[in-house]
Amino acid sequence: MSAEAGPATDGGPEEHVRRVRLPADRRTPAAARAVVRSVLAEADLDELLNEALLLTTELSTNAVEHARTELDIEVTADQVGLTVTVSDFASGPVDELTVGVRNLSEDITEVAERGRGLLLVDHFASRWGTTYLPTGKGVWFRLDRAGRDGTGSAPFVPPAAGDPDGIGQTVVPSAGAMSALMQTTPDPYADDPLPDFAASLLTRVAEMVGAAGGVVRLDRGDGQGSQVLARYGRQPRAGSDLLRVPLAVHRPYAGELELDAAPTAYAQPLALLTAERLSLHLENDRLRRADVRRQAWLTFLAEASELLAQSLDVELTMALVPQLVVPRLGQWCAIHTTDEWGRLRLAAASHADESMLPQLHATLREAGTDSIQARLREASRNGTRTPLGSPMEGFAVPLIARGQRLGTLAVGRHQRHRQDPDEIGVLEDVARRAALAIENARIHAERRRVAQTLQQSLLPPVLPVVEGIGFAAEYVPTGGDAEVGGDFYDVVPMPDGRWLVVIGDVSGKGVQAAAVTGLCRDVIRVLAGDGKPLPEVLARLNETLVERGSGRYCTLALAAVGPGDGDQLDVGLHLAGHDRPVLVHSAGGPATFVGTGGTALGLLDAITTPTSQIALDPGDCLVFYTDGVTERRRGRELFGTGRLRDAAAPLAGYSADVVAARLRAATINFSVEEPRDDIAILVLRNDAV
Amino acid sequence: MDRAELSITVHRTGDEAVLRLAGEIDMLTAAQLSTVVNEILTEPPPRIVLDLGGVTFCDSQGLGTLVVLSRKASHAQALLILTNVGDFLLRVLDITGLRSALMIRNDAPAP
Repeated sequence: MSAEAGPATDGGPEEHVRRVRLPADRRTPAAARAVVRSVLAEADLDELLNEALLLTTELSTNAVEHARTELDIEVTADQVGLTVTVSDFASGPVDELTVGVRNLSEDITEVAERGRGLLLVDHFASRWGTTYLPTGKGVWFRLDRAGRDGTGSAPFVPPAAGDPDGIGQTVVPSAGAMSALMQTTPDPYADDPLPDFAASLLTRVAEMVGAAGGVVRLDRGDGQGSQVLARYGRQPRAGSDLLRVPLAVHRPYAGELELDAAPTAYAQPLALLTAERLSLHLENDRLRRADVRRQAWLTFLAEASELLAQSLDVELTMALVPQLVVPRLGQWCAIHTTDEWGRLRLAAASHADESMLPQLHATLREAGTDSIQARLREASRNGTRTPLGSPMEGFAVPLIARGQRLGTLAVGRHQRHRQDPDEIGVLEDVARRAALAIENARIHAERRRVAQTLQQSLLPPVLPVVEGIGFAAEYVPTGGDAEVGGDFYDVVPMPDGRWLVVIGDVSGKGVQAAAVTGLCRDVIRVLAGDGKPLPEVLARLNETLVERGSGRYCTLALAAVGPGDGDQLDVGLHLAGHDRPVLVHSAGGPATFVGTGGTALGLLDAITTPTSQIALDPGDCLVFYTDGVTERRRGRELFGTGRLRDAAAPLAGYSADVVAARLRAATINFSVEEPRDDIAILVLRNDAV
Repeated sequence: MDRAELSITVHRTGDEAVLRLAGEIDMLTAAQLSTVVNEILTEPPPRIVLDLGGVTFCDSQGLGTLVVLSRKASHAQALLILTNVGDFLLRVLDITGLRSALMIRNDAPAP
């Protein structure tokens, strides 16, 4: 950042001013020299000719080469010297003006070709600097007659406002200049007004104390080190007096104001005053930035929590955490989990630089007393944050949820950026949330495993193979969820040689529903096995449910199947609140619903249990199903019994297996959604040939 | 503008090429100087003498050109020598630290 400083061009009686606009052309430096030559001749300043021509050429060449716009050259000469300003009309940020270094090599092959222009300006000029205009930017220099500047030991003192005669004398700051110094404020609407504000203050104070140059340095403590916030005039020469005032800012900020001026008279108090004004606004900036950063972290944590809370899958949660951490909180991240033996195993790792990932894995595999693994074990054992040494510098935090050590979260430090206490706090927070999410996912997985085991145990492993009767079942549990549905089916031999087909649906879901399902299944098996008539089986089951079903009810279809007339099968069908099965005739024709509805079990003390007798001709089949089939959703639409019947009708003549499989496919394909409820289909067919 | 041109006259003898420069060296004319010297460097004599006696102005672009040409000459086993360097240009060469890197023979008599 260069200093914003307009050259002092207060009009005076002896002043010679010339302004020309020149094209961006290779002839422009020569034209600019011609202008300067004529002004110097008028002002009788020929002694400055060589320097003035050289510096004018350097500035105009620079502008022609870099701005590529027209140039304005303004030449102002008075009794003591000359000021030349070269401005361009290029928009955009101002290029950093770097003063080249003096060549030190005698070997021509090592000598730089370029970069001497500003070195010469800096050497010869009494003062120089940059100005910013709404239309573009300018660079200016001031040359004073020998005796005033000469070797550059005595800085040119520009006339302060209200003190036009104060050149070269002890400067007494005017009330106007003081007031300007006090009233300069940062632009409240700028994104980052500090550099401009600092430049403006620096320029004012430098002009008031007659400093040839000055700089404001600021270290924001963000790992970038001390940066130049504002610069004014030329760089200090070796051996010149420097006035340094530290800025009164809080950690991690630190900075200083440096003026190329002797600490005489008003210089010291003015520098102190400026530093104080600047410090106040820097403190504001520090607080504002800290606030913005904390808000950003809060948002990040909220988002991370939400993401982690949504994941009920252990593997997914583990994979998610490094993605959250890298690159925002560190260069790399690795999650290790503790197995049942207390050993740490790598679960997931990520690196900001993909190509570094193999090396990260290799380093994480290393064993030994100083290895990362050893440090991770330490973090896990002690339950505290543990630093990691090079080459994978960073630290590890234990993952602890509900007092259980689940593993570690290791994070690598950013290379060009140190981790501030806020970031470490955020990381520890992420670790806590990740540990909870992993623990939750583990509990969920465990629950799902229990539920699925339980559900599997409620269904018969295989349906019996019976001469002349085809049984087939299809069962689709609810998609991936830990909730067990209440559907069940069974085929039980009866003492009289008939077979009892059972399909039912206990209200509700979950382990309690599954327990009631188990109860129903067992009661039916025991009573039917005892040879009790089916109405009594239903009545006893109803009693049991009313007493022990903890408010759950059950719909049930019972069908006792045995040989009938000829090669027919006789079916005694009892529906306890269950949907009527579909009868598909082998002869073709429309499929029909059969059976008479009775009372669902577990709701009332007394139930009605009407029986329907159905005769199945060879090839006829009876399709039982649960509400997972009919309530299969597509948007707001239900699959419904009508669609089921229509889907079943064309299946006449197919084996029970095929009918069940086709109906299952028809149900599933009805919608792209995951099934919300268990789907159970049981097909009974007269297989007599 | 009218005076900003550079004129170069070349005298070649057996082991020496003398270039007499008159005018100003800046971004406009530096290329002209390069062209002439590069031409000589296609068949380099042991010494190339740049007589700067008539040079009224030389800026940092001119200095850069002198650096490049000296380097090329040394690659071509030739010596680039500056003579009749004006006082102000000598000062500039001092300031930029180029005086010791360039070959300057101000006392050498112009042939």
